[in-house]
Amino acid sequence: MIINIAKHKLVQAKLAKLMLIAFSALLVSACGESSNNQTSNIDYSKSYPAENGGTLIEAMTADPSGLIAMTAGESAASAIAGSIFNSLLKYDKNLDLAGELAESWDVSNDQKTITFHLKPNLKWADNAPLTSDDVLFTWQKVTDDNTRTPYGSDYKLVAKAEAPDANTFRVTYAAPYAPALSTWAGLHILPKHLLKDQDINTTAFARNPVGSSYYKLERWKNGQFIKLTRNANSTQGQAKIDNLLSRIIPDKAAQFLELSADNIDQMSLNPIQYARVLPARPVLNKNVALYKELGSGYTYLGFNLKRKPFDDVRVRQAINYAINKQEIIDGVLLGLGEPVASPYKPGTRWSNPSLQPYPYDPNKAKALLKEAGFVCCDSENYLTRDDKRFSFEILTTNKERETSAVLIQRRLKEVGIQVNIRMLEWASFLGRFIEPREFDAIVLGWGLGLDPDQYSIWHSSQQGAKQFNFIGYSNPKVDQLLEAGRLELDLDKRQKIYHEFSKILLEDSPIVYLSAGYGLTAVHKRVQGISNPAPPAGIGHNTQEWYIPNQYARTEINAN
Amino acid sequence: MIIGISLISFFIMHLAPGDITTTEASFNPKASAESRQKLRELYSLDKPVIVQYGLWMKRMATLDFGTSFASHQRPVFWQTQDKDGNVTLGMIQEALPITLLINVLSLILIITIALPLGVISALRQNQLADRGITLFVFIGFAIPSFWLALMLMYWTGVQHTWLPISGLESMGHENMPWLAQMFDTLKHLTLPVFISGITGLAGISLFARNGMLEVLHQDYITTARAKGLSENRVVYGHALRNALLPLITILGLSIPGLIGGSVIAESIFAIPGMGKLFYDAVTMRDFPVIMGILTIGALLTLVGNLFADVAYAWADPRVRRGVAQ
Repeated sequence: MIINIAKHKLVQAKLAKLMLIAFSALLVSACGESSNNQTSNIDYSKSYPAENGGTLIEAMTADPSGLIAMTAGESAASAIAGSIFNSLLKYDKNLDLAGELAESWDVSNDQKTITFHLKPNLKWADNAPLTSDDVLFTWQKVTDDNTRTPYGSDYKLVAKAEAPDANTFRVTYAAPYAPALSTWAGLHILPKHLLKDQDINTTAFARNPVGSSYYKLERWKNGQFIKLTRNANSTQGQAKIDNLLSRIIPDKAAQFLELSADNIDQMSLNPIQYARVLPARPVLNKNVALYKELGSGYTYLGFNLKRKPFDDVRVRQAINYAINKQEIIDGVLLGLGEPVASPYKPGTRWSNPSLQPYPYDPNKAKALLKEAGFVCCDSENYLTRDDKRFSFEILTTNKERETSAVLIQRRLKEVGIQVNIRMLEWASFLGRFIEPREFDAIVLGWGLGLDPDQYSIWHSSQQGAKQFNFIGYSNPKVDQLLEAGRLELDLDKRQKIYHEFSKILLEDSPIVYLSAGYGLTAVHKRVQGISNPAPPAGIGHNTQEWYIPNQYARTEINAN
Repeated sequence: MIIGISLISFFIMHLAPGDITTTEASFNPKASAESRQKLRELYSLDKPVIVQYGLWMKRMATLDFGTSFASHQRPVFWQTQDKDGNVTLGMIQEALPITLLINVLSLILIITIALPLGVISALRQNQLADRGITLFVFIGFAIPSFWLALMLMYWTGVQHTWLPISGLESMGHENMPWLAQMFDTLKHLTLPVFISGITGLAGISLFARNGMLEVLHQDYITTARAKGLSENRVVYGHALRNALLPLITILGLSIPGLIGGSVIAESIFAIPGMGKLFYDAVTMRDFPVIMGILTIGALLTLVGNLFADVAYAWADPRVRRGVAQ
């Protein structure tokens, strides 16, 4: 018991360390919030009708490496590039597919051919017409062996792509491929007239792009800021806010200070800033609106299923029962997260509403372990089987996940399992442990993708050295469902397949779902027109409709 | 020498597990294993390390630092121009001037403050002023700079709007007249320079104090005093000049330090300098950038040493005579 308390203290100490900065800031704030500048006196609570103009300033932590998403790959790039480029399709606010450059699309009866009909009279920001030729060109680039992209494989499944006329683009797959449509929502269409003589890997276009969406690049100062300005030729109508300025500020605490000083309008917060720091500061609390949306990933405890005793489903279920997920959500995310029972975003069509996470039930866990042949107890109160103590190691890669692992360690000790924790740097974690399969268990995260296909994560054929089923999961029934799900384009039938898949996965418990954290965003109240509460797609789904009333706009220094 | 340094750094770098294909898009299920293998081939990462080193040396022979893996093939060192006249700036080319400016300013700040402090504490050895100064410089040395930085940012940026909080330019910087631009940049640099200055005070001031103490006990100081020179002449005319000689070595050795920025300070103040560039390159395993910075750093260390030796000879006649003989 004393040790348990000590463990608990450890977690608290870690959180306390995280809060050091926050609290010391609070300390100073006690001396005089009153001396703030005049902006604090403006009342931002009035709502005004939508109007055009203004500049939205947001903070990002990293500079994108380039704005051609297929060769850049990281999230910083796609965030900015998404305001500049369009895809054929997009996800609407409920995460259903809708047309973006395409006005409509047809799927042939054999489900192998998709025909996209582009909207008429599309234009690039430089006034050149945007036609199906550009789409074809983009497909050729992403599948070209010389293009340095990690994302080519989905598009290589297309056996034939053609552009019969300026407004039609047709792709034919060798076999029906259900995730096909969603892949066309993730491919930014590039302008052929500017790129046809360029090497896409090195082109200066990546730093000076011309796109078709709401905004165009005005200025990019490396490592400092990226300024976008409204694109008069936008294919999607006009955005209300004139300029989007993304400032690159790597440190979260510095971002928060900039928000406090009213120098930025939007930033994403960490749970401590959201739950503790911001509510404690009256001026900030009055001027900034907080948004909570379901994040894009979940954290899990995964087992190496090729190792004993994790090959036994009873052991995996026992561990699942022994872990208190709510405690992890409260302790690590300060309550700003949800438990999940399937690898899909709760509230979307793919998540099976009848599934519930394993409840916290240490007695059931003990019973299952006994059934699996573990006996109580050795000299230190741990379970043994064949005179060997039940002891394993959890590997993980960051602070937040390590804290989850500590909470798991404590709960598993209560049922008689010894857990050691090791934290590693990402590249060595992959190279030395995951690829050679030298691990017992890991705490990691997976993204909650928008297409339900998770073939590469769970199918038994995906266990090669660099493939993603590194836990070694293999269940013929799941294999069959995953294969069927890839071939089925009918949404309702497909939904059934994946509901069934999630159910088996939960019973098999090859991983323990720990938590899905919320995405937390603060936006200054001068920005209006934001959907609250956030729809499944998050508050960012309609940034073109956000507006800044003239009364609230910052004074800007203009060229004259 | 350069070859030895580059060889060692090249091998150490490749001893670390992983490469750009494990750090970039590695855990995205959309990125297939085959595509990543293809990337390794395109970057020549599938070849033995010694072959990769050979390829690198071959490019270095023509002073070609190559292009970055992680940053969309940006040139590592200097700008390039494609056939349409689009200029892409080099990564070091952009980061180096910023870091140099901050480091030179803070070095000047350190010397102008630390030297007088060191001299005062030597003259008042073991008195209150000496103790106070030593305590002060050690507090500056020991205080966690990220904490001090955040506190100062809060005080001067949020509570009072005296100074900007982070970044290098205000919004609309490009529309200001040049004098206002300079003032704007100076305001942005104030805190970073102050922070890196305060942590560096201890070294130089203690160095000056000890050098001064040593010199004050030399026979020629006793002689000078015996000649009846005023105390000011003894201290500033004779003692100080001799005490400053070792400082040249320190300055020479700090030349390579001038191009290395602090990762923590640069992250907090959102300054795109060399420290951040190098740190990001290491975590991304962006080999050309790492090698570029290491090579330039090694080169500057050698130049710095040479510079210190020459300056020493220039400042100290005894050394000069030794060389002549």
